[in-house]
Amino acid sequence: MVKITDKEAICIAVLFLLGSNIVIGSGLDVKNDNWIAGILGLIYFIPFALIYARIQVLHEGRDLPEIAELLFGKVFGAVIIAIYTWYSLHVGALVLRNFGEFVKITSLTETPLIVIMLSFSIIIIVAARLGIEVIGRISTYALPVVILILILMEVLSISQMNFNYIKPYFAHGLPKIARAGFSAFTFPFGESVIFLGIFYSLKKRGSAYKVFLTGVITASIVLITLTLVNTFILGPVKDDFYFPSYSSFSRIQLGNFLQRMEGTISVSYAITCFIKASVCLFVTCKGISYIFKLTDYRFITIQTGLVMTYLAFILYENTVEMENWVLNIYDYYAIPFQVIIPLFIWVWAEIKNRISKNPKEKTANYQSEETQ
Amino acid sequence: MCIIVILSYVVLGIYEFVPLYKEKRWKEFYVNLGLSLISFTLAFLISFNVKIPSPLKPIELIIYSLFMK
Repeated sequence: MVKITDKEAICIAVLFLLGSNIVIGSGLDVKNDNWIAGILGLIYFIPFALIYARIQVLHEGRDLPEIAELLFGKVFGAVIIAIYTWYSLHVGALVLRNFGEFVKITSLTETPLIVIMLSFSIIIIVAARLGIEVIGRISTYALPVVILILILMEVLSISQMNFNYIKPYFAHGLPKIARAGFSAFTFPFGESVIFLGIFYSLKKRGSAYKVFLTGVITASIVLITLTLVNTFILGPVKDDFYFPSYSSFSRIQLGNFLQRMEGTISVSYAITCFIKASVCLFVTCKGISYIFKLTDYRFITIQTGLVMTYLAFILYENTVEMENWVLNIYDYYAIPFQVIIPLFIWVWAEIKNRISKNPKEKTANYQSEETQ
Repeated sequence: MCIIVILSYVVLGIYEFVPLYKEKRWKEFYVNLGLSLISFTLAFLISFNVKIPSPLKPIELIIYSLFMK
């Protein structure tokens, strides 16, 4: 069985969570208070990270389809597998679409969107076909590159920053910021429920807690810093841009020799989207192969990857529709996948765990009494 | 455009289905065939610029009717 180390898993988690948010930012809708929304999103998410990790620890070595079938039986288990297979396919398609829109708007303006997405999906399909071990190894090399690029760009953009743009604090009122915090919870933190489909391959027992918490906290630090930098540079006009990080880094200018540095954020974005979409495709293929009891998921990666790409193409008609979905609809849509079903799985898993432990305890007590 | 789509799917078909057929992996063969049919239909319609309804529309309608009345 393929295994990944804790380090690889943490790198996958961080890159996955950075995903599309590296250019979009987190906790949208509250302008200069976005960073507070990001922190609130992290605070809301930590209990759920522990729940996801607990589900994984209770079923060491099993992925989400196996857990669902073990807990709920064949029929209801298959329904849950189908729901999560759809969700990972959908998240993968959203990531592909975001990346396609980004490339089309910023650089390849004349190229058809489907061509951009098909080109990108080729490497995603290859990565998913090669398996989680390869994605893990790529992540360990890619994460330092992404972090270094971001730190370098943030340092270089200090001269463009106006620290007063962050004031007034809490200008949008706590209820609205708390609501934006929930938005940061669903996108991107809550999407890590998809990890339940890959963390069966963790080498060490019980390391899911460490991986979930380290991954989420590292990704949130990067995202909150990025949101703050965007606010400092773009100020009140930040929300006028679809991709604020790209716009803020395009303002870097050190003399005449160091300018137009926005290409670097495009590289980081390509890396994070690649990892996120590959993980989503991997989990989707695993789900489909489990439903149809296939011996290997690799046989269906190409066609599933193509379906994901076409789905990404037909999801929205334009960028405005995409932004409306992300801002207004996604939060509600994600609740069942990220909150309700995992809670249900966790409670049921704990009950089953207690029930299966009790007979063992009774037998142990009985045996100790007999020996006395 | 549609000729490119058909040709690509023929090549993909040879690459994917011939080994499965030779190894007699029928379950994998049929699941892959189903997925190929879905993806080919979508690719063919996209190549003719047919407007395929987005699956998000019904989801959007349900969410609007439930939470945003």
